[in-house]
Amino acid sequence: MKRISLILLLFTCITYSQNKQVLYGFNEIPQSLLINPGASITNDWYMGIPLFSHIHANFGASGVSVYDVFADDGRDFNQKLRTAINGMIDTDFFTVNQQLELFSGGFALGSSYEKKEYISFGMYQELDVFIYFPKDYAILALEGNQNNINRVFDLSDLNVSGEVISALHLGYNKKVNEKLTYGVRGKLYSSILNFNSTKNKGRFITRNGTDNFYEHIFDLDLALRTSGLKSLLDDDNSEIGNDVSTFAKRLLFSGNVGLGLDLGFTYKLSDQLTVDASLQDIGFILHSKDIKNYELNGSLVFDGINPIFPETGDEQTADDYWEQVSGNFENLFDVKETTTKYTTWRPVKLNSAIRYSFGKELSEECDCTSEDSGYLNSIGAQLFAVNRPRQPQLALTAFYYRRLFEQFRLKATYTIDTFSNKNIGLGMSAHLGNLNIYATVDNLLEFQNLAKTQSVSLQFGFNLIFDKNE
Amino acid sequence: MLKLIPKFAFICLLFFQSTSCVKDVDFEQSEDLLVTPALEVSLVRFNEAANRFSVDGTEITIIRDSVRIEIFSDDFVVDNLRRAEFLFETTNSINRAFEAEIQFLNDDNTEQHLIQFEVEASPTNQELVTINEEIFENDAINDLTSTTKLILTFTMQPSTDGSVLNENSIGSIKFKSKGAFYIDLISPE
Repeated sequence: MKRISLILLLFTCITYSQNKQVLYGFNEIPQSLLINPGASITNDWYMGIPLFSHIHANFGASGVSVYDVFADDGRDFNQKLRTAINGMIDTDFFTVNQQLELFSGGFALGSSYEKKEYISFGMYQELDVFIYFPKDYAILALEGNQNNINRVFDLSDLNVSGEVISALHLGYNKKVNEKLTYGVRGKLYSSILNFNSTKNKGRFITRNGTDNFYEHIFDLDLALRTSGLKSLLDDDNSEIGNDVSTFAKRLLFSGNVGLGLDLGFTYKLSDQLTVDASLQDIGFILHSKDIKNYELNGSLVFDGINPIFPETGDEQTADDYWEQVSGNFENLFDVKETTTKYTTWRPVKLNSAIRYSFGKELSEECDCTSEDSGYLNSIGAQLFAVNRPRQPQLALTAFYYRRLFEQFRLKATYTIDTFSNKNIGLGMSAHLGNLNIYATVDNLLEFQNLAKTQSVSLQFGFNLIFDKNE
Repeated sequence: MLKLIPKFAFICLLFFQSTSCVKDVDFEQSEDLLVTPALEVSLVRFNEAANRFSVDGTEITIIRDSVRIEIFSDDFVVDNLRRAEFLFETTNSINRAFEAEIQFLNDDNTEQHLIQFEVEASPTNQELVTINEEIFENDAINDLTSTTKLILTFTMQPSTDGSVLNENSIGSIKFKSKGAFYIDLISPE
């Protein structure tokens, strides 16, 4: 059973981008404070149910879906694969992002009738993998160089990064006045695993030569940096269980630590019009322990082997010549290993929204609207951006938010991003007594067949919330 | 009630798992994976002037060297090579004919394959191009993949008028070669 649930959990991780467009601005859900520390808060205090307060998973692949390649449509698999590869470009990418909140909580500060400050805290684990499609490598592997004479194979197409981290955080939120609320959150990161190969350079070209048919030009400048991986690969055990316990220890004490900052604000332009924005994960991690880096540097122009005819009186012996030719190639492909420290920057996320609220609740007693009941609806637009090695990944969202009852709120979103131009998302937050249950999913149109979707994002969680008016 | 939360979470997961599904796809197609890159590589080349066939007034009639080539016997090539084509281009402007021989030898120096061709003399020292092609396919592939060494021999034929090359003889013999390797990569069992 344990194994099945692990596989299920893994599958949800794999099948479900970093964009939490449904959750952003959904301020009844305490975890919206993690996306915008300057959100306006409605509760007095809350506590997340440990391990179940925020489970987030997101998967995205721009340019291709599982269906494109694996559709059971009788077409030749290899043809579908070639079409998919030829259809993708080197800025297409695959991304997996998963978060699990270990614990969280928050409470308001101030006098009982006017609490203007709010402290929130918690810890979460995050996995983030971002891989650009290595187009030129794929073409070289698929076609070879025969039909690609003079084509420059750009080795910078190899661009991959991934990390597993934990973040311990403390946030401060202040309502300055009726118009402005701001917030900051400090984070202490601990890196569990990191690998990145994002600054590769070089090229491989086969062009027509003068002394022989071709000149093969190798120009390699490739590097892969890893931390936290060496000890896992070197250890003698092959038991996944042991590695999991190593991970658990590293949540707090990996030795590869970093600092981060989230900033955010909410500003009421008028009673009904609000703007808000946040920057998340402005931060870095220093990698100094358990490091293993690989470097491949060298250049060579090869146009064949020139045999030595000693009879024609060349000074160099054949053996010398051989040493030289094989030496050249050995040097070219010699992978250097280092343990040099390095720093990684966290992917910075920007969220911003403008919302218009309308429709007050009619009071049953007087057939009039109550002054402080708030608006039932809001519509608006959101912009999301996340910094990635080559270019930012963007998403634009239109949303509708509705309070159905005091205890039940819904938010529907329509998002245009790199993956899709018809991504419909839905989120709900219910309050059963003090228990808050929330869930959000996106790409609903594709939910009937996930194989055709290019991205899915899912969050759900449970909190205990105590409101001001209780 | 709090005790129910893990169960409820699990049910939520199951719900997403069951309402969402992956349809009309067949992952077993990956067993049909066939990747067929074609690689072209420059092999042996040389360019020798006519006067280098004469040392201290004595004519050198045979030039020969061995070339160690380990790539043919590389495991990747042995497992995946479907077809190989070699192209040899000899450009001669020396007024002497040559007999060329390329021997493919294995580690024990046993001949696996032999290529022989003739290169015409160029009486007017014009560049005469001779092209030879050699294809390895089917069982003949094994002759290639067991090869670790090539021996290249160019034997100059006697002149028709009995003259010999000297330090002032003009012309050159140029040799270019390339291999085209057709790889069939199938998905591992």
